[in-house]
This record gives sequence, structure tokens and C-alpha cells, in this order.
Amino acid sequence: MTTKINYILLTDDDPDDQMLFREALAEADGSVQCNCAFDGVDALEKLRSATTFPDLLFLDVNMPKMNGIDCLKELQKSEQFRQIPVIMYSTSSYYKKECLDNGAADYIEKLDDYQKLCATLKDILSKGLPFQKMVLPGEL
Amino acid sequence: MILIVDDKKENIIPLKKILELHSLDADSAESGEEALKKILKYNYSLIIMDVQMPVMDGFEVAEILAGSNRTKDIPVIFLSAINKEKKYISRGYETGAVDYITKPVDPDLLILKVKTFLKLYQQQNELKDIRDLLSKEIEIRKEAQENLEHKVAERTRELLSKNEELELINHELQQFTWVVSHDLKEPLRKIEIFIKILKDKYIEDPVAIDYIDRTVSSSQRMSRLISELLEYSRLSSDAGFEKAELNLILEDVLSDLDHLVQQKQAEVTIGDLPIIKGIPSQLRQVFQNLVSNSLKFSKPGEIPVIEVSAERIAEKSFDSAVSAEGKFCRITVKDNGIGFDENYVDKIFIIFQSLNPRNVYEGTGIGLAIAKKIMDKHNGLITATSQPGKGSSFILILPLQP
Repeated sequence: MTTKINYILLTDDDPDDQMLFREALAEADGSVQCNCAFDGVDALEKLRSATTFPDLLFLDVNMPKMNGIDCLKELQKSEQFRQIPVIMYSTSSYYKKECLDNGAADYIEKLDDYQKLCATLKDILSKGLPFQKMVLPGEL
Repeated sequence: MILIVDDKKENIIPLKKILELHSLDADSAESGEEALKKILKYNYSLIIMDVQMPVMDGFEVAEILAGSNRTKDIPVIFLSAINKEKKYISRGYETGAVDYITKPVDPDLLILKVKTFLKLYQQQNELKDIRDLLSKEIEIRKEAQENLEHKVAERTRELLSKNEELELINHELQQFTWVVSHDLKEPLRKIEIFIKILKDKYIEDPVAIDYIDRTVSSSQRMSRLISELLEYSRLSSDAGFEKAELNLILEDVLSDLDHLVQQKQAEVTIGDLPIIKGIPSQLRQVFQNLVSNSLKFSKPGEIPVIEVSAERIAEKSFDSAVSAEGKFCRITVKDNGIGFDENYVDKIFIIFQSLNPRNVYEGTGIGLAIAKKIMDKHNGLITATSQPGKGSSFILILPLQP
């Protein structure tokens, strides 16, 4: 039994990446709602004041104020937030192990190709919840 | 100078005469007090003293002399006409006298004794001088030693702190490079991604698409360069040596390059390679760079043939003789590619050198500089031989584990 993913919270300090993510998400499945936070602190605030939790949380690793890994650690401390699957992403694979060790559901490298980003999101959305790790041809 | 102490002048004069006859200088004092005053003022090398004197007798004077550092070593000969008994004689010796002579005095014997004691006193003084000199010398050496130790300790401290400083700076530099490289790649990634969207969604003109492709490939090339620089800067960080099976490493490399090998239909043969001590990930990078270069620079229209072989050699040099018991190995990566002008051989291993557009060997990039740095770290050597159009051989020398 899988459930559809309806709501994604994206945390990224880069407006270009936010825009690309939104567009790719709309292309993959226009019905999915997406909110954006700009850094770890912002993400935690948005989650604390939320009435509905996101089905999936995307966390960029390099961010000002609170980086993705620190934010991930904070989330793991909370009984509620720990339930939300977190996908960490960064431009390099350098932090992969640290992220997975700290409870990330998956780790992807920021892609340099829009089509691949669309494919990644499509793969995630088609599997639904509970979250399963992505399998992508080639790159990942 | 000899001092004669006697309260009777008539005793002093003949004695003085005898001494003068033997060219021995003599001074005189007519009481214990006068004697002490003179002794404090002048330097005497022998005292001939009467025991029986009014106010302060000879024993008292001798006792006072024995109590002072300056005078205690001056030999004293007692001369007595009255106190001939054993108890006086022994008291005389007790006060520190060297001899006790009773009158009448035999002048010859007296002179012999005087000369002997003078000689002894002189020798004693000489010994004392030597001893003083020695102890001064020891003092000086001790001081020098302490000084040296102090300086060494200080220098060591300085070096240690310099070393710490360097390590810190090195670490900071690595951080800096990492951050800069990372931030440099970010805009390139954006250029690439947005221009690809442009191409996919909005452009149909084949000329425009060609321009876009060129833009993308330029941006990708720059991104690769930055990654390689990053790789190069990371090589300085410490990684432990462990068992490195070169055959396994080559297998890995080939499976990574499988796509390129298939595409070029290359024939790759790997000989029997040794197991060494090293950093496997770095050694892997060396071979990855060499083999991928061989694939990249193959002759158009010819099947690339790449051969990796190893032999045991006696010394750490490229032309060392083969030796079954050798402590080094020579690994050769040989191809039949386009080769290069051997004049460039020193340049291709230096970072940035091959980035110079005037250098013909485009594309080698930083890969060989990385390989060189890794070989340095492994206490090894790397060089290449080549002729344009006839392929090239890259030669590695690595120490075998003991």
C-alpha cells in the first residue's frame, strides 16, 4: 500500500534552484504542493508552526545560518519531525555518508541537468509513501 | 721572600746572613703582632719563627695564620732553644707548622729544609693555580653547555610552534581551496542547467543549438578543471598507508572506464602487478588518469592497445636493472596512441603547465600533475617516453613493501 505524496517542503538558499525545483516538480506532477524555506532555521520554524507536515522534506547541505546537516540533526531530536523522510542534496557527494549516518532517507547530488531533475522527482512521486530510495539510470 | 720572626735581633741577623748567602731573600719581624701585620701586607713563601716571644708567642701566631684562608698554606718552621720537649714539638706541629727545629741550628740542614719547603710551597701554589684554572674551565664549559641546551630547547620550541602554524595555514588553505572551488562550480552548474532548458524548450535553429552545445561543453570543461584542482588540493590531506593490490585497483579502474573502452573498442591487457603499501584511492587515481589518457589520445581509426605491466627492479631509478630480489617495482602503461613530443615530458607533470594554450598537449589538464603528486607521496617516481605518432609509455617506480 502506498500513499500519494501531496506536499513537499524544499529548503534551499538559492532562488534559482528553488525555481528550477518548482518547475520540475510541476512538470512531474502538477498536483503536488511545494513550499520553500531558505535555510535550516527557516525550515524548523516553518515546521514548528505548521498545521500539516510535509510528506517529504528536501534539505540543501550548504546553507547560511543553519546548514542542512545541522538542521537534519535537529529534526532527528524531535519525535514528530523524525517521521518526515528527508532527502539531502548537495553539489558534491562529499557529505553523503554523514547525511545518511544522521538519518537522511536519501542523498542526491544537485543535478546539472533539468531533465534529470524532472526524472528524479517523477521517480520519487511515482513510488509514493512510505519513502523508498531512488533508483536512477546512470548518474546515481 | 722568607719572614724571620724573633723577639731577639741578635737571633735574626745570623739567620738572615745564612739565607742571604744562599741568595734567599729574608724579611724580619720582632714580635708576633708585627709578624701578623707583615704577613697580611706581603706575600711570604716561608716563615721561620721563634716559639718563645713576649705577649704573643709563636704558637699563637701560627694558630692565627692557620685560621685564615690567605695564610693557612704558608709553611711555618719553628725554631726554639728553650722548648725542646716533646709536648712543645707536638703542639708546634698541631698548630700547622711543617717543621720544628731546636737550637743549635746546623746551617746546612736549615738551608736544605728551607729550600725543600720553599719548593713544596711553590709546587703547591702551582697545583692550586692549575686547580683554579681547571675549575674555571669547568665552569665555562658548564655554562656553555647550559647555554647550548637552552638554545636547543628554545629552537625546538620555536620549530614546534612554527610547525603548528604551518599545519594550521595548510589546513586553512585546503579549506579555502575547497570552498572556492565549490563556489566557482556553482555558477557553472547554473549556466549549464539554464542553457540546456533553453535548448530543450525554446530553440530549434540548428546553428543556435550548435552554439549552445559549445557553451555547455565549455562550461563543463571549466567545471571539470575546477574539480581536478579540488582533487589536487585534497591530495595534501593525510591518509594512511595500507595494503594496495594493484591488480584489484586496475580492475576497478577498468570497470570505471568500461564505457570508454567499449566505445573505442580498446584492447587492454593487465600483467601481474605487485601488492604494495600505499593509499589505494590515490593509486587508483594515478592509473585512472593514465589509462583514460591512453584512451583519450588514441590514434583516430586505429584500435587502441593499452598494456600495463610490472617488473621488479634493484634501484629507485627508471633505468634500473631487473632484479628478482629488488626492493622496487617498475610499472609501465604503454599505448599506441598519438604520443607526444618528448621535449614536453618535464612539463606535462607540472600543474598549470599543460593548461598553457601554447603547449601542444591539450587535454592532459591537471591529471598528470595529480599523478606526480601522488607518486611523490608514495616515495615513487613517474616519467614518460614517447614519440609523436608512435604511442607513449608512462613509467612508474614504486617501493615494494619490506
